[in-house]
Amino acid sequence: MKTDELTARFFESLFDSSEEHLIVHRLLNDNDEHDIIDDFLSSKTNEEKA
Amino acid sequence: MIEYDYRLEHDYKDSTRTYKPTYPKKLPNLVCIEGPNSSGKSTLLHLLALGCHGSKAGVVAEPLRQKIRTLLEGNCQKLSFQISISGPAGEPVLSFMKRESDPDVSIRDSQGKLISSDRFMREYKLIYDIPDNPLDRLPLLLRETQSSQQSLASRARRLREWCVRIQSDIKQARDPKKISSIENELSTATENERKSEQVIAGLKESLKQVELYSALKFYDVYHKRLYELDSQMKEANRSNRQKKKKGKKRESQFNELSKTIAAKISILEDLYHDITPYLSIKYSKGSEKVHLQLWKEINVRDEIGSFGIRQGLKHECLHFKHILEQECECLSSSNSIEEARFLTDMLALLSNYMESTIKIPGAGVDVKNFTEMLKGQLEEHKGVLKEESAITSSIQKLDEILGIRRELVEELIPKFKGLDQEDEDEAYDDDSIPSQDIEAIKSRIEVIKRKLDYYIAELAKLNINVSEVNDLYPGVVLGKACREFNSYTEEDLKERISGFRAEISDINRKKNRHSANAEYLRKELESHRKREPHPYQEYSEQLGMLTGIVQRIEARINQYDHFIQQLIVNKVDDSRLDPVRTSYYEHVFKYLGQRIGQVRHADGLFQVEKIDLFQRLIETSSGKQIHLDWMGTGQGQSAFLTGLLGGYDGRKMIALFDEVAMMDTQSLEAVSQRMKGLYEADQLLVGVIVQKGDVARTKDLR
Repeated sequence: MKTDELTARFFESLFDSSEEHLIVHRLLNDNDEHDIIDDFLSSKTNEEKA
Repeated sequence: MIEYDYRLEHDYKDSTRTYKPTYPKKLPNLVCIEGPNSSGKSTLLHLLALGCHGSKAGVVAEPLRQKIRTLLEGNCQKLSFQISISGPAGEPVLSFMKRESDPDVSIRDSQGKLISSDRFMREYKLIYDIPDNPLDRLPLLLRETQSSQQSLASRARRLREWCVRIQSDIKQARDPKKISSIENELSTATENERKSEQVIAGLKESLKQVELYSALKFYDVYHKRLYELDSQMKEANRSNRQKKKKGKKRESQFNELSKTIAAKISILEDLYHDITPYLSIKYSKGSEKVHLQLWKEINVRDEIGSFGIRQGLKHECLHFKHILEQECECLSSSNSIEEARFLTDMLALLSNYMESTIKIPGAGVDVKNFTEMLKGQLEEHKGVLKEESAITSSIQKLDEILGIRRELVEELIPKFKGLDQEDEDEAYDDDSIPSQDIEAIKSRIEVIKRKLDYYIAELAKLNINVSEVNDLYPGVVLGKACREFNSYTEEDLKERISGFRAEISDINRKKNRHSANAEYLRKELESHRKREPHPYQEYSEQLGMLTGIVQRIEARINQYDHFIQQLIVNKVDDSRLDPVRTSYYEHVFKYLGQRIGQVRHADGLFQVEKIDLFQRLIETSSGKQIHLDWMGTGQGQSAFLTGLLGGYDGRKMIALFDEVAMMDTQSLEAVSQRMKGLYEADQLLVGVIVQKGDVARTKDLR
């Protein structure tokens, strides 16, 4: 089941690191594991390119 | 719309009573039901909760759950009911039904299909509460949060497992870098294997050289030694045999010679004693008296036993012989003796004619008478003849003595002494080998034989026959290549051989490890080359980073689960909080404040910023701090119920609140407004608030 928005914001607020924050956000939004991994790898690749 | 009907029969043993709805059987989705006790308000809520799986553990608080279960499981009652719920546009959404004979409630969806318990739980959320002591129960609002938190931890774990699985898949997939790495490792392992083989070959060559040198040298040494010992043994045996034989012969000679000497000495003594009286008589007076005395003092046995040192017998014999010979010459030249010889010769001649009657011419007598006459005349010369005979006999005896003495002193005694000396010499120079020495030689031979056998075996290991030793020996043992071993002892060489063997064995083990490693790497390489590349091959490092991040998230959430559980059961010692807990609880209190949203207090409506459960303070956005204990019960109920409605997780809510009579209109309004908002947002399907009242009535809250 999806986490309500209030609770999701609460959880997100518990993590300061942008990477952790982003992962928690995606977990709370019920993203598929593969999508989360792909997004992370893409963002890392882009960072490295930049 | 909620359409419902039920029939509940209670068996009181002495009677039964049947309960049926007293309120309208059609109710709006958001409704407030008011009425007196036992009018069926709570029964309707229980039936709705029963249909929504409220009897299952964890869905509603325990006292309420027990009441719901009693409806289903009680033996003293019979229950049948049917509830249909439609949406805002009148479309059917859910229906619950239980016939009297049914053990459980069947739930159907809008299509009339049965809904499983799991599906219902995924799609709908039942909120059923009696808000007694609401402010103290504020932490219970966090149960749902804890559940979400655990769900988040579970998702983080799944994500981590995905990451790990992908990393594992990448390791199992075709990886050019890995292939290159294995190729390099294989190359190194093969090279190491080759080098080890080279070293082993070199060492084996050196070992063979030492073994060959050692085997040839010591085969030769022990072969010669064995030959020497065999010769010694043979010589000892031969010598011992000869000694034995020689000894026997010498003993025989010795005995014989001893007897001869003893006999000769006896003869000599006899002769000495035989002649002594004649000499004593003849020379007892006159110039020969001294010689006679010397003669008499002679001890024949002593003279013979003195090995010729004493020569009295010899000298005196020679002396008396000389004297007697002179006398004999004088006597022979006398007429008397000549006449006597004549008469004797005549008598001898005439003895052949004794019976004859022939007359002797010139004498006129026959032979017989003439013989008598001659005998008469010869009688006159008898003394001279006897003297001559005695002298001659004595001379003969003296000659005999001298001859025997010479034989004894010059032949027999030296021979005897020679035999004796040989005996003495043999006794002194006895080079016959004692038996213990022979045994020592034998045991030495055994030792040498064993050593020789060992070196023969060593030669055989080198495919060398002993017949080849002589040909090989000069080139190897005397050759330049093995010159360094010349100063080595046998033990040194054995140690050297042992050292080479140990070194070969050690390097061989290393080589085997290299070989096994190379074999493993070849298979690994073959396996890797057959694999398909993984789409994430290039992202292994980033995946590792992601795994680390997710692991940290998972660990933090698991830690938070412990924190929130302690808060829910009110087990937190707020005087001993570490920074992590303090921060977490700060977030929780703010979250709780947002969950409650607004509170009404002292005729004012306040936006809640934070609810500090440790301080029991409500902090408002305007900076007001309201102590929880200052809140009225109704206000507390309102805040608590609003909080219960606070979290939408995607499931449609069915909210049932019983016994809310402590709330005044304004407080109730806050709850109904929240319900209305949720209903309009299509987040709430049913909202029923029940409170006590003297008159049974219902109020549409939409």
